[in-house]
Amino acid sequence: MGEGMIQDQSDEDLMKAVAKANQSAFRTLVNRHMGRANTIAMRSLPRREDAEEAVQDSFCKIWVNAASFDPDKAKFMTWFVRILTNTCLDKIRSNPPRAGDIDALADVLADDAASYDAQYGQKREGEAIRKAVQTLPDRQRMAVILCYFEEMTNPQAAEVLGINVKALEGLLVRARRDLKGRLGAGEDNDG
Amino acid sequence: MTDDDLKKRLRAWTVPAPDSGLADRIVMNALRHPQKMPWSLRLGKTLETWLLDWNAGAIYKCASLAMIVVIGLSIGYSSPYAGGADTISIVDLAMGGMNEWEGS
Repeated sequence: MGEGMIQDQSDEDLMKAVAKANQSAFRTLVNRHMGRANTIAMRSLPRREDAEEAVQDSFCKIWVNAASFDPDKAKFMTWFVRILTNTCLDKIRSNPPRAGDIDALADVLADDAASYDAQYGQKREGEAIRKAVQTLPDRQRMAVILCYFEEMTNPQAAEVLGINVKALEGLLVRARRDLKGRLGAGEDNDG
Repeated sequence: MTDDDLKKRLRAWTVPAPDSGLADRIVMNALRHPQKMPWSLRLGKTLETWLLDWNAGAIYKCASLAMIVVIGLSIGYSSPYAGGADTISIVDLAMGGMNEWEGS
């Protein structure tokens, strides 16, 4: 299979090739989805190195279990995000965040932008949101990341999390209430 | 704050792009691991090899063939017609039975 042809293939076709140990197909999948995987992992896990490790582990699982992927049962993206989400949840459970982890990145981000007020304000806002999201309970956080950041539909996010749509909506309602409380309180304190 | 305001506000949180070398590290790390096959596929592949490749498991195949021959011979020798039975005597036996049935 030529390099150009591989680039045009759908994810599902690439997975068929990956199941036959085609390394070019696997590399194409990695290049195609690494950005999104990184975003989800960075939002789920407070430490950057943990996020990077989660992304690596997830792609490794894709390679190892490629023959188990059944395109009739789920789309590749749903299958992949489910693997990534479970990997992130496992990491959170086996290595719960320390209080300092959430604050650590804030200083780095703040230093970058200190000279530009607008940028600084945006970074601070982003940091407040990051803290608020990362203090949510695990499943609520995942539901928020999938539905509000990744813009998945509720049925898609429910499928990824292995729950029904009603349960997902319940998670989102509680998460929204919690986030409004935290971000609203932050606004009051700042203003 | 409405739900829509919250969703808009959440988008202010952006995350840094991954390291430039991450893709290579992912690929190198993954390729070090052997690929797994589900048991159904593994069974199918094993059967296919066994049935289509005469060389696969030749010792087991010879042993199985020898076992079949031994079982066949032992059944043959232990049957009531062992040693004396031939086609004609079997036909005679059957014809005798039919004659008795017609006579009655």
